[in-house]
Amino acid sequence: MHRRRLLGLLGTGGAGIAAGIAARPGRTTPLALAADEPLPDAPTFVPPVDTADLEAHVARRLTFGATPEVLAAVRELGWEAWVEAQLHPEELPTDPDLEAALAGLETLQLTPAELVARFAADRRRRRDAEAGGASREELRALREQEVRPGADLVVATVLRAVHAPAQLFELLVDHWSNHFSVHLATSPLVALGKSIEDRDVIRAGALGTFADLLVADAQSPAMLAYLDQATSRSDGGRRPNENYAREVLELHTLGVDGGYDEDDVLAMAHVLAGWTIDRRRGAFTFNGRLHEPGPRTVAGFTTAGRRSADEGEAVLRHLAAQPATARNVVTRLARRFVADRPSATLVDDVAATYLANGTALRPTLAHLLTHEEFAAAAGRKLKRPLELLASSLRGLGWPVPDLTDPRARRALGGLHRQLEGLGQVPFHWPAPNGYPDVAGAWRTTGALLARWNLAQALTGAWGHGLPLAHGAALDGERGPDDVEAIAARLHPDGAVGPADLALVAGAADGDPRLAAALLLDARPFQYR
Amino acid sequence: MDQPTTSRRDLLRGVACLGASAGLATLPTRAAFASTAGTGNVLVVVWLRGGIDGLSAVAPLDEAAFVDARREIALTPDAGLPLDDRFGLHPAMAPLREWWDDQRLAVVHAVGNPVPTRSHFAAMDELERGTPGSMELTSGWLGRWLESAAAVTASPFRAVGIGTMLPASLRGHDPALAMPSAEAFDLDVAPAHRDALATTLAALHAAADDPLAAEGRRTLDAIAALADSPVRSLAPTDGYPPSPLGRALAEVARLVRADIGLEVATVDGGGWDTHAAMGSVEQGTMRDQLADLAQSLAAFAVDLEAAGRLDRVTLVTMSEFGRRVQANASGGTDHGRATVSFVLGGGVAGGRVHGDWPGTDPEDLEAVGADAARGDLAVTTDWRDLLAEVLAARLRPADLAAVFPGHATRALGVVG
Repeated sequence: MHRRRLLGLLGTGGAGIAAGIAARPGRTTPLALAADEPLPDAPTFVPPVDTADLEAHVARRLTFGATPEVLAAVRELGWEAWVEAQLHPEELPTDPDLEAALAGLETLQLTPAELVARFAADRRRRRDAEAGGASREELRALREQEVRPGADLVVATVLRAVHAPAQLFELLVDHWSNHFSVHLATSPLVALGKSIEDRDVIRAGALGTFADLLVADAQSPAMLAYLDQATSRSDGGRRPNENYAREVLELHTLGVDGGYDEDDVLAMAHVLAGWTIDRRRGAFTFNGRLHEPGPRTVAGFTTAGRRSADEGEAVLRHLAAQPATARNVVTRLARRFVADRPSATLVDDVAATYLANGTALRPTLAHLLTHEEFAAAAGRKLKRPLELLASSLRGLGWPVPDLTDPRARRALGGLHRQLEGLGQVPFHWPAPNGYPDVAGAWRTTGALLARWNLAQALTGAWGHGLPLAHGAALDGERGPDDVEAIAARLHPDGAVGPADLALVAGAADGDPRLAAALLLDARPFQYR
Repeated sequence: MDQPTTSRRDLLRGVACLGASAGLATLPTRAAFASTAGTGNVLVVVWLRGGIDGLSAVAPLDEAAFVDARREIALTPDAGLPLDDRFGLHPAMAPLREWWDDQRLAVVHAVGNPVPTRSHFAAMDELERGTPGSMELTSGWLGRWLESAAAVTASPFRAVGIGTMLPASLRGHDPALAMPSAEAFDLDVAPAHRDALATTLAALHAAADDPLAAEGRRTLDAIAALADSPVRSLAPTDGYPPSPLGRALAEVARLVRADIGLEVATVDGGGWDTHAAMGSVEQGTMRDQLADLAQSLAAFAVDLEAAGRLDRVTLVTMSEFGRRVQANASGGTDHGRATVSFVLGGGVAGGRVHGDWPGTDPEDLEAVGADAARGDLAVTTDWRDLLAEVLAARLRPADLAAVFPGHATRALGVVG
């Protein structure tokens, strides 16, 4: 049970509801929802921001939270030049404090083989201690050690979201992590595999070609373990399992209506039988002994049928280049960066670019972000909890923590619990379709209450909250213009109007932390 | 996305939608919670996400091909607890025996989506909308029921989903409350500050043109109403497994016992997508899943029975599909078609396996593509028929044509 708590498996609000798709039993997680279309007779939505201010829109939508500094940079460079610069993250400066903190997360620095060896040793040590009657404290420390790869990854993800200068890149990493969603809590093997995958697959491939990203993900130990591909075999007439084969067609590439049937699913399962994990190296291997060779046809592509991983790779690259995949990939990107229900025109336009550029993601994104529908979509996306947390911390000026400081580690534990209550601990969606990205999924009574309680926890209003350091937002002397100064940091786009500012000032009654909490609760802050 | 057709739109407009959709302008008094206009009955829908292998829960006793197809993961005739002369219950589900013997638990077997889909997400979408094979309607079946019965109730706790996300079944003009637990459902500030904060939050959420603002107002109303209700004075009952499902059902039971006008509750359980390593009847993943389900349902029944409420509450399990008859080489099963449903509580014709059993012999199975060696248990009962029967028998007579449009429901005799 202790390990579960550390990995945040208590899910939403403690009582927990669960969706167990491709997950091991007992996990507590929120459920998958249908896409969010407006109900008949729903009131027309007016975004609580200035929809004509394109630079503010870019600063909000293409970062984990607009700050005065980011907005100033967008205004100075011009939004197109700023976007272009963000599409080349390798040329952006890094944040030395952030890099130092990440360097201190030891498991992030290990090679796959080292991670596997470390985990085996940690597990042996923990089991010996359990058998030998070690103290509760010792056992707790050993269990923490055993689950460290997953814990480090979540910490790194939050730190990067808040502090990385390459903000659009971090959004893309988050996006692909959901497109190829893996549930960290499935097993320790999946957790350490996910740590490797985040670095060597997602971060390495976020702006490459989708084809390369897809193949690298298919060969990632995390994905191989998560969707049971690693245990699938077809030798001697055995039945390969259909888990990954189905989801790669349905979710990752063609889409549920993208033109495949049950025969394609089975054929894909046969093609990929033998795709498994070399546990000593913590890497992909093709075990030919588990594979029955022979030509197979998947979505119109027939393999030569040799006993080789090349066959599976060829199918994957074929799938990546299909128009249905283009529409699926672009629809998900558009849902992330433009609107909950992107138009068919937008999807078709950008899908054409995807196909014309051999599935290259940089030109695809460039087209998406310079499309007129992007410009017209200001204030139309609700922040999901990770975005809300990160933008709150950015606005409050939370500095990069000293991870050797126990107080900072307690604060991070508190942030983790907040994300559990909000329902979005990174890499903890239990289904392979990733966290929902439509407003309706996140706009419930329980979810809103959790957001308001987040604001309380982060600001420490009324002396009660997480031990977080704050930046300039909450410093300064009390005075009538306090609220304006705090609002300028949290809402650099000026989206909170004078009436609400007066309301907040009156309610805060000179308490800058309470003013900050209320400004985080204000509706414009919930949108990106 | 396509808009609903004119006839469906008119249908939905035609049902009265009073009270809740305009938001609660004033807090209901305590007396209003115990709505006398309702039946006092409660429907609890437990979604088993991932596709529960019905054949592991309740297996035929006399079909040899089935045992051969499943090998070491099969619930064999000698291992099952006999329910009748045709079916055996997984031994890990023994806690449900007394409710079966008492005729308060029914099994419906070979229930499913009449339109084949083996996609988790498409199946859930379609079933939760109550429109197999179609994604035209944007509301859920429970949402439409709530709208069609909206005129006679005022409780903010009519419909509660346990958790922070709501299932799509509840989507509609009368939104349900999402509540992970009654205990934690409050502003996290000292009591002295709560009212002031709530007042400010209400003012910050006054806009008429933002569904977020409307949801904010609903949230504040719900917080206040819960604080004003007897729920927190009732401790959750002991005896539930310490699992997400157990805890969620304990919460539902508490809401029932508090008599606050609950009519529909939804709960989600997970871990059912058993593509690999199901284990054997004696031990492993599948056994653990079924044990947790049975212990949670049994604890729920015990809890409500002790409170004299079980006759008022009907619980139905749902799942997006069942699983393949044949085991795969990973010791698991892949996505199938028909599955099992457990129906427990008030009005249930228990102690029987309902439905038209199609059989697991190869020639009786539904084909999965062109490979004759793959076959799924065929669907012989449409989910809508089961759900419509429960609604009609246990909650206010509803306009079922609005709840399940385009479907002429068939009586099953499971709930009366």
